[in-house]
Amino acid sequence: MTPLRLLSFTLIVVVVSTLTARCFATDTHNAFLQGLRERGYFDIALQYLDSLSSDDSTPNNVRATLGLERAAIWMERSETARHSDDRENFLGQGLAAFELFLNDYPEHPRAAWTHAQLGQVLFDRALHKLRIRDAPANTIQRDELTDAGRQLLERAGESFGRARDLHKKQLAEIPFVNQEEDEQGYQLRRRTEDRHEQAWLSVVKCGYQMAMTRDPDDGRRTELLEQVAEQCEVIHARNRRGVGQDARLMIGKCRLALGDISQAIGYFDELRKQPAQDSHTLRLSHTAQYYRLVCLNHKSRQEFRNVIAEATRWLKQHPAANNTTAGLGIRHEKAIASEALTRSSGLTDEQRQLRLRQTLTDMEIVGALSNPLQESARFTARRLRDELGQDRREPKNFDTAFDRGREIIGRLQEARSAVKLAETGNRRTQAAQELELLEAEAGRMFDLALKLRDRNSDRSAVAQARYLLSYVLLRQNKSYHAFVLSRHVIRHHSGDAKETAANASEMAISAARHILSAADENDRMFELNLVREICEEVLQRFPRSRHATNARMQLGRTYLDLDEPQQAAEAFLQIPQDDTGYATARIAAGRAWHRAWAQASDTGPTHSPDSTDPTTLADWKQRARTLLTEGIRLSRVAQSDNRLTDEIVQAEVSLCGLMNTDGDFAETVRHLAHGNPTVLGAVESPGERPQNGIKSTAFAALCYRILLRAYVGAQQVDDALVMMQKLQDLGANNTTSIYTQLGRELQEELERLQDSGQHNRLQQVRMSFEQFLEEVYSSRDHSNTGALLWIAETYSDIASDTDDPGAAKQSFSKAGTIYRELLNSELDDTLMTRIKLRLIQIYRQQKNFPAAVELGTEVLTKNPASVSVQLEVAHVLADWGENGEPARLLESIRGIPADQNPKTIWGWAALSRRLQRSRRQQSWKELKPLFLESRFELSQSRLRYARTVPDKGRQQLEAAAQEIVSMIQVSSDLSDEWWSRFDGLYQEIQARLGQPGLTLARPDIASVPGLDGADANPSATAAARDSDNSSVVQKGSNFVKKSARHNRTSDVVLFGLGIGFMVAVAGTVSFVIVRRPKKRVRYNYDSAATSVQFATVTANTSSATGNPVRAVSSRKTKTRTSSKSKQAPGKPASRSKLSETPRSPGRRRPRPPNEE
Amino acid sequence: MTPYHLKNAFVRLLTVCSCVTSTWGADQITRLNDGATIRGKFEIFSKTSVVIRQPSDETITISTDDIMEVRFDREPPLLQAARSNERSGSYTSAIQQLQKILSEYTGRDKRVLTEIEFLVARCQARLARSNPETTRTALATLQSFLQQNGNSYRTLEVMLLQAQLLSGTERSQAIRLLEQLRSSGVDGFAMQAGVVLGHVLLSEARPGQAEDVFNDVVRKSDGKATALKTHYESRIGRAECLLKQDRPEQALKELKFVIAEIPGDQHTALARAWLHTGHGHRQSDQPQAALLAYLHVDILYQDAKVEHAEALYQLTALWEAAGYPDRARDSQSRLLAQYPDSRRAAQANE
Repeated sequence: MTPLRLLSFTLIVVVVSTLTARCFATDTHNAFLQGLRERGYFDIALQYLDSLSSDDSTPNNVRATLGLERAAIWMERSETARHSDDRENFLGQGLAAFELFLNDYPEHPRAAWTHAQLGQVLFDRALHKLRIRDAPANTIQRDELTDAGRQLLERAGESFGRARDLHKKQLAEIPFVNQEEDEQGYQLRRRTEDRHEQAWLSVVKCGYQMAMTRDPDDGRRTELLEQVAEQCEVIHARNRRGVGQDARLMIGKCRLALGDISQAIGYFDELRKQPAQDSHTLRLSHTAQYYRLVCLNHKSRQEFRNVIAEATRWLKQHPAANNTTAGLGIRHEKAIASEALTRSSGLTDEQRQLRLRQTLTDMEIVGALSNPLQESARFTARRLRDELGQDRREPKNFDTAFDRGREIIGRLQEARSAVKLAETGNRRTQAAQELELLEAEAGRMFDLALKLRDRNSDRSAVAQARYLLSYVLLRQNKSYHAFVLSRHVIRHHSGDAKETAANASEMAISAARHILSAADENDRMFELNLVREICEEVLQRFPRSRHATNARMQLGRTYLDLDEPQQAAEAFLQIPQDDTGYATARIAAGRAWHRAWAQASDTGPTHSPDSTDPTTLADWKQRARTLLTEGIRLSRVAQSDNRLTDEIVQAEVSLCGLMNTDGDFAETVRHLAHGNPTVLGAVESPGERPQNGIKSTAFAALCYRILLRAYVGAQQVDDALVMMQKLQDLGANNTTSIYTQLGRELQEELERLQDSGQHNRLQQVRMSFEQFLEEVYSSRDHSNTGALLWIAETYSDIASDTDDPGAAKQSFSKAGTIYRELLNSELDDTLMTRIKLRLIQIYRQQKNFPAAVELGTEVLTKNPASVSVQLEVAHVLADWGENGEPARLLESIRGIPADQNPKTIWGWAALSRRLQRSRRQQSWKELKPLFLESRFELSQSRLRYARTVPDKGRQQLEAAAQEIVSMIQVSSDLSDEWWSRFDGLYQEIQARLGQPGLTLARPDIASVPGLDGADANPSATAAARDSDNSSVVQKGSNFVKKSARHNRTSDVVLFGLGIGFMVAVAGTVSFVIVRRPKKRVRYNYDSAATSVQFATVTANTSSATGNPVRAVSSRKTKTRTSSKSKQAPGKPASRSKLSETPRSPGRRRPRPPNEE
Repeated sequence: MTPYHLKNAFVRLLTVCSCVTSTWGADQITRLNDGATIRGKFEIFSKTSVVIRQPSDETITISTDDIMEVRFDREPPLLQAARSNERSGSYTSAIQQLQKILSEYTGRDKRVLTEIEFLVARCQARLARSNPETTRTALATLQSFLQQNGNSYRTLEVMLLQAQLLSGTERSQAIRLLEQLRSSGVDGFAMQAGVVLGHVLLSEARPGQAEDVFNDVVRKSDGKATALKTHYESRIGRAECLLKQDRPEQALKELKFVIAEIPGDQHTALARAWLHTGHGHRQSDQPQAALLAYLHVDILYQDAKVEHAEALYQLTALWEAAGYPDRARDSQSRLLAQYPDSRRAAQANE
């Protein structure tokens, strides 16, 4: 033996001897702990261990085993606990302590033993879960318990596996020795071998139990059982003694589970007949006997009489073993066989009753003692009692009522199955009625039980009665009752029935969600808060339980419903890594951050400004990306069959949406269009698309749009065209809105790039997009007007945004070409009018005023009430007037007759007058800006005329000044912006009239009616009305301060003083107003202007008609405000400036280059 | 031969050996510092030392503070059993045995009579510590011993016991005795007197002075094998002073070190140390830690009766406050059952 091996051997001896040694080297600690445990002061013992743990002076050898001591205390505590909930709780703590020890000291000499202990505890817990799962009363939680059992089995298998590995390692260090030469060494090796094989068999047993959790017709079950049998053969081949025999029994059980009854009986008989050398073989023999009877009772054998005979004989021969697990199992099989015989023919009623009574007695014996078949036996006993008429009377105490209620709960699953399986409507109705009756009866029983409870009633059972009653109430749609009751269980039974209380937490959350779902969509804040509060309470009370995961998920969803995505994300992120829902939670958190980012980034007109700084926004987006990526990865790993779940697909699409915003188009393409299977494929649907889910039209459209955007960005034009076609196939309405969205995204990206100064990238994106548009245009389908409209609008947008006048001209030209092309299409009148309006705007932009007026006249001849077109044509005339034909400015004011109609084109004066008449209508809110715009333009056109023709302009200037004064006189509610504009215009007019410094004063609000109130000043309106031909100026108006020079009366001085005072006041007010920062106007012009028909005064929003550009423009309102002032001279006005809609008073009218 | 027979044979052999030794005519003395037993013949007894001549004619002088046990030639055999009872804390039995020996003793060796009287006084003094009702008797016995044996090798120890008993009632007298002991020139008794004096001063609410006294003892006893027990006691006393001066953190630190150093067999010292640890934690408003400390006394050092009674009393209150009425009842019932005559039992009954 080499020194190394000798050393190893010595070490092993030390290790093994340590296994039986006390945990502490220090006697005092040990003695004290022992004393505490003997007195049952487990809590204090744990505190003591904690204090040792936190004490720096604790010796290392003591410290190393503190965890193990802790585990031992929890286990001991579990054994002495009176309530099952406490037992479970303490056992759980023990497990945690074992795991902690192994984590801290994986190489500790006791690690292998600890792993095996841990595995055994987990295994026992798993069996407990699976056993209670099969109890009829637990049908509600069957799936949940199955999952829990499987998880425990997995963990148990891992622990046994580690124990086996460590024992194997030890075995490698122990040399083979001759028993005669070294008895101690020989025994040591044998013990270690036994432990190794025992751990191995335990791993295999976990596999067996795992297989048994599956349905008998599940192919995977068969496969697993075959594997187990195979491994057991190997173990048996290695060791034909204790462990090997256990393995043999396992093989028999596998064969039984697989339906090979004859083979199974062979294995069991072999074990059953072996001579009982020790207690182990005796126990094994009894167990084999039990399984033999199970085989004989099997449906393929049905040897009931033999079972009864054998069982009766065995029970007589082995009285001492009657109450063992095997003995009770044998009695159980006897009872099953006995009951089966009563169902057969040939028995008189009396015989049948007799046999049933015997069966009942056997079942009651089995049900009275703790064993794996206890629950099942109790259930059967209740059923038999019922059948024998022993349970017909109304319960007189809590226990009876509670048991009766549980029994009914057990029957609910069967009743539900009957409803599902009912083939005809009548049968379904009948089955549903039976189910309802059962539920009602169960509820009545639990209610009765709770009324009958007294001081001696088991608190744990009372808790369960309440919990089950809340379940029934929820089934009966009494959500509020269910909620209150289950919350009561949470709050008042957390101490004495923790597990029930924890289960009730799920019930309470379900009830709260139920209440929420039934709430009014527009008034559900109370219900949302109810869900939030119960989730938070559950988290507070059961922070480490599996119920906490559900609570966190529900809480997150509720926060999302409450529109608090950040809170939602935080809730999702609380789900621990070892939870099965971890991947889902990561995805949910990612999507929540995505939403938070999207909301904070939203610059739309309906969204309030968000003060979130860019760094935070970037952080949120990054979090969303990271979490989605992680969640997708974990979810994909969890999918053994490589299938794409709905969740993965949704997460991928969400992630790709984010990646698009970062310009990671290639990644988006890779995520959505590559791989096997692809996300793109997952959203395909051969037939009719469902309303919801990943195959719904809406989701597919979203996916296609994101991919289309990525293809455009990646300059994969062909693929983009294919994607466009897919979008077309989804449906016209959708397509238009999708194009709108796409246009918006592109627009936002272009703006973002412009704002961030990434000019190269900006050019690149713009070029790639234009290229795409070219391709789309060149391969256009003339019948697809939606696409053509989109192309035209998009060109128009590009033209508006570019700084290059040449490029803008070119884009406008392309837009114009497409619009003209669209004129030849068969479109409805509304759409046709809008297209013509666009074309007029483009003509105006291109200074092709005759064409614009001609087209405008054409539209207005047919539909003179189109305010949008009237406004636009008036603008055209005004611009034309300023560009060489001043008379057009007067026409813009007075209007133009056409087609025997005195005024087809109304002009500013008539337009403003007609608009003012609508002030009592509901649509006035939308029309008011148009009115103000037309009044402003009315006066401004006069000013422009005076500028263009100075020698003839004075009259116009005086008329304009008077119009403004009149306007102000009746407008007490003008916004600061409008006021400022009018005042500015007025001052300029007065300056041209030689009266610089004359300003407007705001009217007395108390005395002057607003535009929304009483009639506007008729004289002023009349003056304005007549201003087309005259210059009636209402002199002496108290709204004009610099009047001294015009005053011809004798009280010049007095009047002058009064006016002077007013001027001072007005000057101060004006100064304040002028100094006040301008507010952004968020009015959505599109909604009012685009489709306003004067006669009907209806405001058709662009989004409603699916106009993509309208949406883009409206969104641009805010973001472009800053860039307006920076607009270069000569740059074509943006589309929103094309006066298709009235201008915002906060914005300056774009002037033609020559005016500048 | 069964184990029972073996055991009997072994006991007989020991008895025979003992008789043989006795017939050799040897006195014997056991030293405290090394546990060595020296046989020979006592030649000189004084208040401060004992001189024994060994069979080799060599004389050894042993300080009176280093005496663990003294046995005399031809002393009554039952005396050893009484000593044994005293060691195990069965003072009542020991006193009964000693009184019986005294009444039945027919020998003329005055040294034996003195030793028996001393043992009776010492047992009564120790009994009085756990049963205050016997204090008066104990004091009378001690006083009587001093009056009759003013220059005995046991005189200083008796003075110490007397001072300890008087410290609860007649403090000035106790202080006077203790000061005499401190200046006796016998270090062991001087230091022990210091410890007792420190406690007296503490009970007179003079913690600063008491701390000085304890510090003096700690310094003097440091590193001395014969004064190990005194050393620990003085350190525990010093911790008590810190507690009285509202410095629980320092006290707990000191006690932690002391507990780590005290050998496991010195149960009384350990019990006292844990007891004061409990007091310290209570003072620091750490009831859980206090509970753990008192439980050490209750579980590990039940043989330190005074301290155990105190621990049970404290535990009763702490369990109650911690929401364990059943445990509180258990502690109280044990206090009343095991120490019915203790001060704390009386308080618990109130």
